[in-house]
Amino acid sequence: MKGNTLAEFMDDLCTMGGPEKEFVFRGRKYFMEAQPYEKDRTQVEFVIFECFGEENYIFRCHGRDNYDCVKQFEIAKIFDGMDIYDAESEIEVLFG
Amino acid sequence: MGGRGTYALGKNVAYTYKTVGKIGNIKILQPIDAKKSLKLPEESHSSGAYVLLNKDGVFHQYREYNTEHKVVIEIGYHNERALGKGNVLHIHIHQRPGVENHSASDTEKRLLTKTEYKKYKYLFKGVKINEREYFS
Repeated sequence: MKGNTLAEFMDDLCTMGGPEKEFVFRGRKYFMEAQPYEKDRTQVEFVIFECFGEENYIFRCHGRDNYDCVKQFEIAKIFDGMDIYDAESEIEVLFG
Repeated sequence: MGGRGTYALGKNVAYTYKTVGKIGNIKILQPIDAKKSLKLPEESHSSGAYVLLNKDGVFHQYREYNTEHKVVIEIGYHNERALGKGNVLHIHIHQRPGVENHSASDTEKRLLTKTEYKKYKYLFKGVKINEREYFS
């Protein structure tokens, strides 16, 4: 991973009030952020969306707290079939 | 962790940001290590506000801190799916100070009011918005 170390990236998801990160994976730019979950604002939602075209979501999850969401993010195969640990070497964090 | 460029409650933490200029009285910060991603400190050191420009010199983020060094206002110009497409100028107002409350349900995230826009406009280098559409 460039821009962050993998440890910084994962740690920020839990400690910085949730993620706010812009990154590039295989030439495409994405934005990851946390927000209150629309259907139950006591919960948190993590989203990742494309910074191009229709800005489609490639990942959405919600949970009681950031840790709940990180657990779901860790196992999501959203990077061309890979999870964050397999894809991290191809990710450059531009912001956050 | 959590000490990257923070005040860290008065403990000595290595500086990870440098001042590269000013807009008005606001310091423009950049990471000292050019290989690091762009971001502003989670807590302030000696100033009450900092601004971040992207590599093309376009405004990216502004953070205002209280006397306890905690974030109270953040203005961003980047993709913000919930508020529009493309780069969206928006503001986060913390009811509870601190970056840990950035995504809390009581932190307001919305477009700027006309008054807020006028107040901070001098910081928005390279920001392109259609004011008529933005405030409609």
